[in-house]
Amino acid sequence: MKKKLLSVVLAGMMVAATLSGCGSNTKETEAVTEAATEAVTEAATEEVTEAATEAETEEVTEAATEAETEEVTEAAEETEEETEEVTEAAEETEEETEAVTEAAEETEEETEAAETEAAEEVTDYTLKEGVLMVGMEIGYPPMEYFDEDGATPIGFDVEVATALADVLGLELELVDTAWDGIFAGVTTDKYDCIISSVSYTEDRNDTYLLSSAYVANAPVIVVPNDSEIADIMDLEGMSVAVQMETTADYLIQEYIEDGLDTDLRQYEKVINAFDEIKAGRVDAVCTDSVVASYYLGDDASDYKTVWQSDEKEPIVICMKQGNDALAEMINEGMAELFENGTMAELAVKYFGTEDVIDGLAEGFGAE
Amino acid sequence: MLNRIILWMPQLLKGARTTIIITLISVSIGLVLAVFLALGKMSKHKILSAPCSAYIFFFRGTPLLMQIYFIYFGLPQLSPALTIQSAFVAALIAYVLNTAAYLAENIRAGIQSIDKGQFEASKALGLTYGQTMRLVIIPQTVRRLIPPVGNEFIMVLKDVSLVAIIGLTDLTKVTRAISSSSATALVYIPAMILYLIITAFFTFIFNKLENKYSVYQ
Repeated sequence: MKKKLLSVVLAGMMVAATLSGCGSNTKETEAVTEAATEAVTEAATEEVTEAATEAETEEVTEAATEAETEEVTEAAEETEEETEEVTEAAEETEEETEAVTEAAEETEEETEAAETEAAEEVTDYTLKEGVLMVGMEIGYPPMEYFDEDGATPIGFDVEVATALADVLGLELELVDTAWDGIFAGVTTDKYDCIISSVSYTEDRNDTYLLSSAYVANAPVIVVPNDSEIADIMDLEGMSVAVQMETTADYLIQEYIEDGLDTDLRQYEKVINAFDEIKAGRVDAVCTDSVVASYYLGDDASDYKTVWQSDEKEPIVICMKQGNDALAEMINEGMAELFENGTMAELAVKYFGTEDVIDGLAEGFGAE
Repeated sequence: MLNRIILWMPQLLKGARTTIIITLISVSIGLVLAVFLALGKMSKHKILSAPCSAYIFFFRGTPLLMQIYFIYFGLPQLSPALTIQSAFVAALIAYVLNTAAYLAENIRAGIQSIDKGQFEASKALGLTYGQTMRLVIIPQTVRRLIPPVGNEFIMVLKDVSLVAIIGLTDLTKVTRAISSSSATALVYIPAMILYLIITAFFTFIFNKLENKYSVYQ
C-alpha cells in the first residue's frame, strides 16, 4: 500500500515537473528566437560596416604608397652619388674590418658555446629547470627568519641564496622545512640544496655533499649575566636547552656520554630554547655563535656568552651526495659572490664585521 | 635489522612510558572534572551553565597544540608569575583541561539519554537532585560512557605526541630523534607496533569494563 502511494506521488511530481518545464520552454524558445534574430541583424550590420571601412582603407593606402614611392626614388638618386664616394674609402678599411670581424665571430662562438653549456648544465642539474630550490628552516635568526609580517623570509642565508641564484641565472624558490626533516628532504629530492646554517661535521660530510664554508661558526654557551657558569664542564648538575638535531644538541650529548651530568632539554625551534632561559627554566643555552650574537643583541644586558667550542663548525651548503655537477655550479657561484664583494657586504650587514668570512673565499677558488 | 630494533627498544620503551603516564593521568583527572562541567552545563542556573559552556567552547574550539604551547611558553610572557617550571606539569594541565571539555559533552549526552522516568521516580521517592545524580543517574550513565571515554583515551594516547614542542620525550619524539640520528625511517615500524600494542591493551580493558557493567542489560 505504502509503495503504491509513493510511486503515485513520484509519478505526479514528475508529471508536474515536465509540465512546468514545457511551459517555460515555450517562453524560453520565444526569447531565444528574438535574441537570435537580433544577433543575426547585428552581425549583418557589422559585416557591411567592415566592408565599407576596408574599401576606404584600400583607397587611402594606394594613394599613400604612390606618394611614398616618388619621394623614395628621389632620395635614392641622391644617396647613389654619396655612396660612390664612401665606397672608395670603405674599400681601404675593408681589409682591416674583415680581420677584426673574423676574430669577433670566433669569440662569439666560444661564448655562445660556453653559455649554452652552462645553461644546459645548470638546468640539467637542478630539479626544476631554471629554478634553484633551496631547503631552509625559516626560524633561525639572524640566518633565516620571517619578517614582522610573518611571511617574508629575511636573513643572512636568505640573502646569500638570493645572490647565488642571481649569479647562476636561476630563479630562487625557498622551501621552508622543519629542521629535523631537512636532511631527509635533500636526499629525497625535495630541493636541490640546503642553505640553512648547516654546520660542517664529519658525519654530515660522509652522508651528504657539503660545499666549502661560507661563514665561520662554533657552538657557544649562553647564560644569564649573573650566572656562575664559565665553562661547559660547569653545566654539571645544571640544565641546558638546545634546538634538537643541531650540532649543539649533539655536542652536549657527547659530553653527557663522556660523563657530564647535565639535564638536556631539546626543543623544536631555537627561540624556544631562549624562551626557556628567559623564563628561568634552564640554566644555559647551547647554540651556534651566529644565533647567540643575534639574541644577545636584543638583551645585551641580561645574558652573556661564556664558552666557545674549540672545534669550529663553519657553515656550509648541503647537497645530495653525488650531485657533483650542482656542486661545481654552486662553487663557481659562491666564488663569484666572494670576488664581487657581496659576501663581505652581507657579513658586515648581519654581523658587523668581515671576520666571519675571513679566509673562506679560497675554499671556493676565489681570491 | 632485528638487532637494530633491539638496540632502539630501551629508548622507545622509555618514550612509551612517558606517553602512557601522561595519558592515564590526563584522562582520569579530566573525567572527574568533566562530570562537574557536564552537570554545570545542564544546570538551570545561568551562573553555573554559562561559564561551563564557555569553558567547553574554548577548549574544544582551539587546537590542543596551541593550548600546550600557550600554557608553557605564552603564559610566562604575559606575566613571569605564570611560569610553570616543569614541562611535565604544564603538559598535564593542558591535557586535563582539554580532555575535560570533550568528555563533558560525552557525559552530558550520557546523562540526558537516561530515561526521564528515572528522574521522576527519584523525585517521587523524595531524593534531592544531588542524591538522584549520585545514586541513580550516574551509575547508569557509566555503562553508556565506556565507549566514548575509551575512544577519548585512545585519542589522547596519540595526541600526547604533541608534547615534543615543550621538550618532553614521548614515544613519537624518541622515534623522530632515532630516525634523524640513524638516517633511517625503519624505526617507525617498531614504534607503530608499540602504539598498536598499547592501544590493543587498553581496548581490551575497556571491553572488559563494558562487559562487567552490562550485566543487567
